Amino acid sequence: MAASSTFWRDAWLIAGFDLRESIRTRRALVLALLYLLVASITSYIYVEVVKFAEEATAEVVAGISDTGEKVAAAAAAGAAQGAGYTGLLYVIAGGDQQIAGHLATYPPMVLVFAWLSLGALPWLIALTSYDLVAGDLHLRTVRFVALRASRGAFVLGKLLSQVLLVALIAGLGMLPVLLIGSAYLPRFDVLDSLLALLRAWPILALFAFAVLGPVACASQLVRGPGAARFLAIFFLSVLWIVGVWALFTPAPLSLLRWLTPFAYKTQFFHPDLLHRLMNAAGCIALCAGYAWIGFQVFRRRDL
Amino acid sequence: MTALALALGGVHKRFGAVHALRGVDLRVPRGSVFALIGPNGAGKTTLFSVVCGFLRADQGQVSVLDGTPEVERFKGRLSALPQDAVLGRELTVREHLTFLGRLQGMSQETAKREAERVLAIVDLGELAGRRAGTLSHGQIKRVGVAQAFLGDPELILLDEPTAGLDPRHAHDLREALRGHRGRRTIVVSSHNLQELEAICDEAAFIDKGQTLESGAVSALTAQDAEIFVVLAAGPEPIDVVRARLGDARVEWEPQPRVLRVSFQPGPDRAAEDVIADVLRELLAQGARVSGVGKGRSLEQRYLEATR
Repeated sequence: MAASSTFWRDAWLIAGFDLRESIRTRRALVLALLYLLVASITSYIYVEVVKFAEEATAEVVAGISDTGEKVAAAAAAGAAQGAGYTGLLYVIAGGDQQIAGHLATYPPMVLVFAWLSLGALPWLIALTSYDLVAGDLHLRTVRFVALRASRGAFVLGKLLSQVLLVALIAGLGMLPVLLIGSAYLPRFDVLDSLLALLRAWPILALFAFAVLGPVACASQLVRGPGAARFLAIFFLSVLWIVGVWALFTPAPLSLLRWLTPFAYKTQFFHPDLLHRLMNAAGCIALCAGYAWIGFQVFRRRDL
Repeated sequence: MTALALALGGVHKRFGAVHALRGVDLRVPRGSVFALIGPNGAGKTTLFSVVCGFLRADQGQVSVLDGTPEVERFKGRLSALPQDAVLGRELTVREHLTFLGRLQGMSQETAKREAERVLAIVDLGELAGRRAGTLSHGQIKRVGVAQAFLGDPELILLDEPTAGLDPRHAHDLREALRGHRGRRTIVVSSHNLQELEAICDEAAFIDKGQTLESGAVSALTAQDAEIFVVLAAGPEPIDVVRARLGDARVEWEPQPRVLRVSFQPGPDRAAEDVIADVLRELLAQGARVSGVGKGRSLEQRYLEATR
């Protein structure tokens, strides 16, 4: 019991220290800027699409003199745009009507931001967290910790720090959505969007767990940061291909998609809370599984 | 029987084709300041790493503080200055040390106090708030030494602690190590044999991954069984001295003009008695004495052992 509490205390201490160290690095700044860029571009594109749709509607309506017809045309254009959006939601939901319905409860701008963030996160994480263990091995910084904490606590602490870092940066990425939305969209509901962003925030953090699993595995398998980066990108690429392949494969092989982080993305938007919680647990289990595989090498490794 | 802080028997470690440790035996008594002496590539750093659990021995027995090298047992009891480990660059020296102290089980407050205490040992108190990445090589080394003293552990392993330090800080560190004599077990590796001779009670010579000799420094340097006299230019009455001392072995090294006398020490025959006999005879023969001493330097013994 005492050993267990020591383990968690150590992991938490390592996570806190590593997070404080990480957020002061140039790499964290680059990650934050990249993320802000993704968020800003996403928001800007959304604003342009909305403007384009409104202008198109206005153009159609302007050519009509009769007021009743104007109203009808505007309604028809709105319905067409709505149908297009619903179709898009259906595609994002992978054909799952329940999920598509739940997606519709998010303000469109927030949804677009969350969805593109989920798409960008794996590659941003692969490019920034690849050396979470390999970096310390390479510089032998791990030796200062290895006399004071177990290797398991070390890896867990490093993992948690990266999840917290991603959560922080994802939180930062919400600012451009609110700023651009409120500046350029007259009907933008700031409060509603803020609440929706706060709903999306844990999704990003939990999804980060799923992605960090293979990345942490790669980082424990090799000593050099360069090799760890290559391996992390390779693992994620292979998992992405497996995920796509499994989608078009009959059962039971299609179940292989659950071994990839990408399968968990859509399920975070399921209307059933229990389903979402199971999905979150799946992300953590996936992280634990891949990190454990890497740990089997790391725990025997000469430091 | 002397209690041991460290006991290694027949330890082997290979890195591919390189056989770094080839059956090292080592016994470090508790409370001693122990010197690990050997040339570059002798296996000292590998040995330290095996003791710390950074590396796993391929073969042999390793007992550290009466058990196997496991971090669960070490926490706060063993610390080390790893030779080539690097601290993170972004946080301050104080933050690093407080973090390491907390990992040893200290509260935040105790860890902060400890950080200040150990920084004072290495005269870095003023730089506690500086980012580790902005420190010079020597300052980083001193922070490394400081972290090894956190919590006053039972066993401290210092791999080349004075390498890269300026003379004053090297001296201060030696004094700090001397201050721990008898209270804590400290194992030091260094190429500065004069330094080791001044601070260590015990020593081991290691070469090519093997222990050549080990024991008390006084025994290794034959402090009780050998004396030397340096003669200035003039008479060299070596044969007279040899005849006077009987069973003692008398050697004359003409180039440095050193007369060495090895003898069997006994209750009535201490080194001081032999020195008195030899000087009396030399002076009676008109020799001019320019220096006298006991034993051999650790450096001489090391050179002989590794020849």
